[in-house]
Amino acid sequence: MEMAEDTVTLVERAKGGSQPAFAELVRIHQASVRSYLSRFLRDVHVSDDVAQEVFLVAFRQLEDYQGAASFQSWLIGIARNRARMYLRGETRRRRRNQQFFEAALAQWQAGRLEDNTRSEEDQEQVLAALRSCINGLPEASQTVVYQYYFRKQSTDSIAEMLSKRAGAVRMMLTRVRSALKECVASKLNRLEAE
Amino acid sequence: MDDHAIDLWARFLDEDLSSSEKAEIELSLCADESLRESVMDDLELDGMLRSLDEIDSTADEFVAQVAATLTTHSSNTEVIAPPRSRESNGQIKPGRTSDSNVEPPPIIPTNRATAVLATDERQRGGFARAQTLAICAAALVVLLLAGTIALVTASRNSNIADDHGRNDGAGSSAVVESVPEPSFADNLKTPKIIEDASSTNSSRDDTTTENPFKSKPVRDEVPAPVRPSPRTIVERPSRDQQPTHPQNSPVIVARLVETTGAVWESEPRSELTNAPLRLLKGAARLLMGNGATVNVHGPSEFQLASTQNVVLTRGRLSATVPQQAIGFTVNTPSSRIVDLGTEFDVSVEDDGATAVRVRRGEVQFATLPEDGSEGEQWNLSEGQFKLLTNDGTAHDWNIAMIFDVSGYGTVMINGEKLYIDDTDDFSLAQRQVMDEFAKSEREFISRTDGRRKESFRGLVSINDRNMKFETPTQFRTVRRITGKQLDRLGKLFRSLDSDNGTVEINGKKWSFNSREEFDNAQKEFNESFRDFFNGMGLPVPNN
Repeated sequence: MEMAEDTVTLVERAKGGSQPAFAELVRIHQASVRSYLSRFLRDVHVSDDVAQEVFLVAFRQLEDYQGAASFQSWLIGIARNRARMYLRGETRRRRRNQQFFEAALAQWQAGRLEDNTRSEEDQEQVLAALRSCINGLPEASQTVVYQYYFRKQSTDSIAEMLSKRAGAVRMMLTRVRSALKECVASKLNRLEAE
Repeated sequence: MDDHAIDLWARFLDEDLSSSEKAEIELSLCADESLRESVMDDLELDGMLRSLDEIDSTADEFVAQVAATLTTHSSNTEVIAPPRSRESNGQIKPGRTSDSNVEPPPIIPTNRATAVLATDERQRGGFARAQTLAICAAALVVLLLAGTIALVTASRNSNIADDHGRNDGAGSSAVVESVPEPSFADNLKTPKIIEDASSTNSSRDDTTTENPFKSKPVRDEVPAPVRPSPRTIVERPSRDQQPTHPQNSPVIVARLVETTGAVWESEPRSELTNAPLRLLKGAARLLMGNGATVNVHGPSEFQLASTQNVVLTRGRLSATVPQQAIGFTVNTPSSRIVDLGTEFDVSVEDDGATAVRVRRGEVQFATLPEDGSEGEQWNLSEGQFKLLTNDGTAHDWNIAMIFDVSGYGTVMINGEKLYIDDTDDFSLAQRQVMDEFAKSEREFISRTDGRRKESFRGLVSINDRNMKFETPTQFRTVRRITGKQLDRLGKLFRSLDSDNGTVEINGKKWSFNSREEFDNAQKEFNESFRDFFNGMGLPVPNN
């Protein structure tokens, strides 16, 4: 693959100390790393902070990357470690703040990160599948996803827009997510089968 | 699948769950492993969706930020593109990553003894299951506790809770005060009444007397200790400094360059002396003797004490200070702002609350406590804001909103004032307020993060209702409450604006199709309406 060839060259140049080469690597892989982190950390700002740390750590430890796996999965490995550390801290923090349910969720999420089969899914493929699944949604569902997740509108204001109740919008979102989950899973299975 | 649990879960993702409901869903998830798995799948998908737009729209920004941290932390000389991001605070500080791979061992939570299981069986295999057991055993305890706590707190919080919906007691600990704090409130009444406010409001008699400086004598009679600044001569206003016969010994300190709709108490000549001035309306631009430009906005009371010192007793000014005028100082009754080469805005409310916003460069902001004790001091840089309320508390973030019942009012976002004259203005302001929350979240979290631990205090007021935050949890709670309150206010304003709509009070609904119908309903159910408007922090409309 010419793409992989490119990454190899960039990694070599970055190892030689070229920051522009590393910045280019960041550009290529930022979507996967950020998406992977927000998948487990959920808060976009938090996951972006952690993503920055991931790239900084990667830059410092570039010598450790020997090319045994793809550069992307090496990055995701670092991200996974960082996310796990963050979630452990978060579990404690939330408990201290008496947010027991949130603490439990953080702990369960950390547990899922430790589950190898799941965390070794190729995030780039997951992302591509998710995007194409959203494009395949009926228009009404796409609108809700767009307003809620992209434009960060509250369910209340979406409800007003669509003359529905907020509860109905929440239910729509739940149904859309479950449709997306099935769609993504089937796309990934098909990829695996090929 | 359990519909009730699904509903709770959907509401949890939408941040709309009380603490006892949280305990309830936790227990459901503990009891049903397949439900838990599907909920966790859902959580992952939700997380990915949340960032899906950003990973495209802010890709360049992200790359630039990472690139900037590499430049800062590497000895490499190769030059790369400077960060395009506005959020310099989003960058990683060395302290945050130097300990990259060393994580302190997890502390066993003592408040939930059962969680010890998790660390004992940490090795492998049974790990996840043991964790679940531990979490779930505790959930039951929490559920039982939550029940009793809910009972105890219910009566205590009822007056706040009814207004803030699902502001749960355990999960969110924002300090919500309903004690009126007049800081911005007094001055922020709709612009329409500002002109006659001083003549009608008897509580503000002191500001309407002939000489504004005479009416606030206390501070002037207690000279503050001199705190010399290495870079500037600090001049503090005192009685002696005020010329007794300015006409006989005029000291010209500034020139009046330009005015816009200015109405003065007594029209000054274009050469300005160090006599006190009172600008009732409009704006005036002054060129100080040292080269600094000062824009004063009415109503303001001030005195140009010297070519490089302005005393602002009340009102608002912005200063642009060129290189040669560095050290230009603004004194307010409670603070001193020393310019370090910059543009900044200062405002002083009737009650003495002082706000400073730095547009460019840097200023030194120091408090001057009334009792003459050692004050606090900060260097504020570009974009930074400080509000010193009249109780002496400094806030780093402030949104103050005042609306009357027709939706007129003002919104102050970290020193920037917006006037609300119709429902479109309201929607715009609402968006700006929520954007400000979103924008500040990252800065807030990175500053109060465990490793950096700086304080970040904020104050949000909607009419006379104040909410303060100091922790990220409080920040989020205040954000949520503000969002909901603004949604409710917006709905009310829009329906009153179009003279038809519904007012819902304690589960009862009143629909109206004209102003008369609204007035009649109000007459008939006067008490409920009063409660309703009071609950929203709004004055009761009179008919």
